[in-house]
Amino acid sequence: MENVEIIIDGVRKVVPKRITILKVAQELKIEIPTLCYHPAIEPYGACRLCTVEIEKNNRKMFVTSCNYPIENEIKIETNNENVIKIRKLILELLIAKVGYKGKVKEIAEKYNVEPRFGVGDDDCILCGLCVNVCKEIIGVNAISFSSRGINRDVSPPFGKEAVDCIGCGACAFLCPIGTIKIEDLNEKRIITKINANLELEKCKICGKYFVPKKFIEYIKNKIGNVELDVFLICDECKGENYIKRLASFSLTGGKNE
Amino acid sequence: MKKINDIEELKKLREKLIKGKNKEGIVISVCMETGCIASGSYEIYKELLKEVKRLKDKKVKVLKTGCHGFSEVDPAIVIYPEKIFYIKVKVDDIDEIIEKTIQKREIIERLTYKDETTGEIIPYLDQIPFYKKQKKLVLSLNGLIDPEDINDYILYGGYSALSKVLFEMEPEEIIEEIKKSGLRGRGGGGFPTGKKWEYCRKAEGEPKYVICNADEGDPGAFMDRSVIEGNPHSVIEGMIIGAYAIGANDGFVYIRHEYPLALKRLSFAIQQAREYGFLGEDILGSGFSFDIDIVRGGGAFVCGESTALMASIEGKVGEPRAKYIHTVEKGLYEKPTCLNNVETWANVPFIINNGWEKFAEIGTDTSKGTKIFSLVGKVKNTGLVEVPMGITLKEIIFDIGGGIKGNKKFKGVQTGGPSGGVIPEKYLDLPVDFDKLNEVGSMMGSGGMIVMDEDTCMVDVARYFLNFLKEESCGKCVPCREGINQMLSILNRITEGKGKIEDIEILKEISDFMQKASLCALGKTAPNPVLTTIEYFYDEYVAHIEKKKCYSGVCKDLIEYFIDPEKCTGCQLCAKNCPVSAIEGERKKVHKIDIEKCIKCGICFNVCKFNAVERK
Amino acid sequence: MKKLEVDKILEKNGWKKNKIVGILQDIQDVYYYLPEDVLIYISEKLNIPLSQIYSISTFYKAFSLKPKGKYRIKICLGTACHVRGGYIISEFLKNKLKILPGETTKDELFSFETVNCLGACAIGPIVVINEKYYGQMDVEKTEKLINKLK
Repeated sequence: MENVEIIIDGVRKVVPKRITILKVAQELKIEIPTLCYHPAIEPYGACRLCTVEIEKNNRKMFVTSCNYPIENEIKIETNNENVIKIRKLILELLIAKVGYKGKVKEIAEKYNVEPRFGVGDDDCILCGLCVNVCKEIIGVNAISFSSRGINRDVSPPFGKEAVDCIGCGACAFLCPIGTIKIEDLNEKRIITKINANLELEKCKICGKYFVPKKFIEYIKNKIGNVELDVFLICDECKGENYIKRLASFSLTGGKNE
Repeated sequence: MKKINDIEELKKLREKLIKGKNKEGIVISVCMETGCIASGSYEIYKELLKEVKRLKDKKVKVLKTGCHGFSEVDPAIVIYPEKIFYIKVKVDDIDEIIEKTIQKREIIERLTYKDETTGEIIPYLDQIPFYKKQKKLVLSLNGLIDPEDINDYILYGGYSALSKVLFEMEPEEIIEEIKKSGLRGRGGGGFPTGKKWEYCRKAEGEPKYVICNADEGDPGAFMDRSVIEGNPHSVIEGMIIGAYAIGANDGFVYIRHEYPLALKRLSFAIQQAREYGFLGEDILGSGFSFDIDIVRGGGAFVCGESTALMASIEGKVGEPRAKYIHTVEKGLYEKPTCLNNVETWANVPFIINNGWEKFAEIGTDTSKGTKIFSLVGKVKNTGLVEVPMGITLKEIIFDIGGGIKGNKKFKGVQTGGPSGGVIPEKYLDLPVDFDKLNEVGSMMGSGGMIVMDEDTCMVDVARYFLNFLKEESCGKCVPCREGINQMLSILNRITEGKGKIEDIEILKEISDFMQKASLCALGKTAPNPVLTTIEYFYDEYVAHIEKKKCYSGVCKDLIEYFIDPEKCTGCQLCAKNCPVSAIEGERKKVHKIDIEKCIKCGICFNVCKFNAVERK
Repeated sequence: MKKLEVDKILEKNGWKKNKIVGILQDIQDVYYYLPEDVLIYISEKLNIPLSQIYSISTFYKAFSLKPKGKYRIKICLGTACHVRGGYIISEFLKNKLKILPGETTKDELFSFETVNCLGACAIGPIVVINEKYYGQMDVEKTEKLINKLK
């Protein structure tokens, strides 16, 4: 692979061509804050918090480090005064929208943000992690963005129940401000914000409700004719015996015993 | 229609068409595009057809054409060969026109244009001040050809540029020609067109695409619509030439759904071009194949941005993406893509036919050729004008446009739509080109020119554009979505009289931030209307904030209408005209405005004959 | 829903996923809005996630998820119409029809929406009723038009 030499925060470094600035920074343990980035998901570039200043052909500009592919010899400043000013204003605007919640709160405190535009109470910063994980990783597309501009939101189709949701919970796991929550109540799983309502299956061993039926069906369809007992055991029951039990199944179906 | 298989057949067809044309005597051309039809030109056209048919004179022909540009006087007709120009024609006038002008060659003075100051009668189109300073390259055939008849286009040399490039020029030569001409993108950015073609030709990856951006979203701009409605083949020919130069076989026109007539004419033109073999396999026997697909926009301003437009063609929502890798390398379906706007494409046949020198001799050092502007707002002669680059704003607004309506005072001119700014009186002598407009904080944009007078509030204009953008931003990135939202809240407060003087600094701070941190050009340029109005009309902001006054009488919360009991005669005119029935009072008794009901539209203020309605 | 009609539209667009925006335009042309059952049907037929179709339907202003009235009124609020008082007509209609832009009257006679420039700026303010353009409008002329339709 071709290499290219860059200067990042004053340090010379040879990096593979087309690697993103954020990846280089992470390798060098340079901290760049992000809200909409996750290593498993295609960089989305929506929150702009990872903005850095670069100098290319004697021209200075601001780029988002998560999706900027390094092509030529550039000079990068990840934490200068201009960059900090931008990040602070982003956080200030987000606080005006959703208030002090989750990761927004955490980063805003680090940057000593003083909110001039008030403290809002919306439930979503529109980072897109939930929508994108559901599309790219899970492949279910249960939710999407709706509308545009200031009316943009995350929503299931028609704002009704998320009929395609399998209840995997990836969205809840990634939501940076804790808006999407999984609430299991006996035989029901509710996922807030995306409005999912799912029936749960019992654990084969302890009998506790723990996994959405649709989730099991989805896995079944994905990997074909496999004995699914292994997926029907809750985390607690899996315990030490889990690996042993797992080994006793083959992917072509049926038990080995 | 029979397919044209080679150059010879095309030449023969043109000769035949010219012979036919020479037999014509009088042509009455009626402008039939969206604006003119709304003004009643379709009824005129129908009536003319009927009456001319009755004449049984084969030398008289009625022609429906694209726009002659002078919308203010619509419906208008032009009678060739003399180019007699009749304005505001009514169906009832047609008998007289046939009898006097068509049969006896007499001018009907009542229907001619009259100079407003001298009262002089100006019967011929070319002598009217509105047309005198214009230079028509792109719009040269508007008014001469039927946009729904490809033969008309061919008659005037249409598709000759195409046959020239296919048989006499190498793709590299074409690109060189366009580069030398100095043509820059007419969609707003002003990127050199030849360079863009060159990058796209050299980019790796197959297939390649060309796109025509006809998603003319800037409010107040309708140049592209007029080009398509008046001469769709010029755009198609430009695209085929571009595709040949770049090495593309597939093209798309992305057109606003708000333009039903343009869509219809374009579809029709593409169909005709296919039948003649200008589109499709083995064009004119050259071995080169190319076709065009039409994609309708869904009503999203952001889709004028190239990456959003491409996403939309791919069947997705129109969200822009980072352009760190340019679309000439990775555009539509991740393939090299060359996107130009309607007017840019329409310039191409002229350059090829006449050579780059002819094009480059028009304009300024950095901006060559002509530019079409839609001259609208508070100007007397509204319409569509094509002028050489480098003409001053004053010439456009006062010489061509005839100055301000109702003899009010000029305040500013808005160019570049939501990405542009308002240019004040002190820059009226500014020569109009890409760079000069940028220097004063505005931009060329696609060519909307909205003239504003003393009754236009500049804080309201800034607020208007942000209000427009709050729904037109895609909402993906934080700086654009939330920045617009905060700036709009501040401007709303100011127009309500609740602003603070430090708000102006905050507006500037958010503006600077949006320019640096937004994902796409929409967000990066969104602050321009705010910044230019703060810079050039600072006093108006201060008046709103400190004196709680809107001297233009626009900001509702800062004005109040009331009736002076001394002057009111009780004529009831205001009460009759009030759209919300907020005025009460018996006949011959003093009237009163119910402040609760009043929507402050100002109608009473305008209709009162005794100046009894006052604004505070 | 008339499946035949929808199938015809899908056929016209080659049953192609990437033509979805155009397909929705065609549906909107027929029904003047996007009926939910039609969208679900298209989602199944073309194997496009319903969430994606919903996202597109709400992103583009050309689409409506709510039925429209017999008379569909559009008020242009482009810059040229704005400075000539287009917003006053919009204010007036809100009062007159007692609905907000995007809504339909209870008797399903009128729906009204505001649009950002129809490109007939030279003769603004523009009002469009069921595809017919009216230029140089004001409150008085608009009121007359509406009263005629009632």
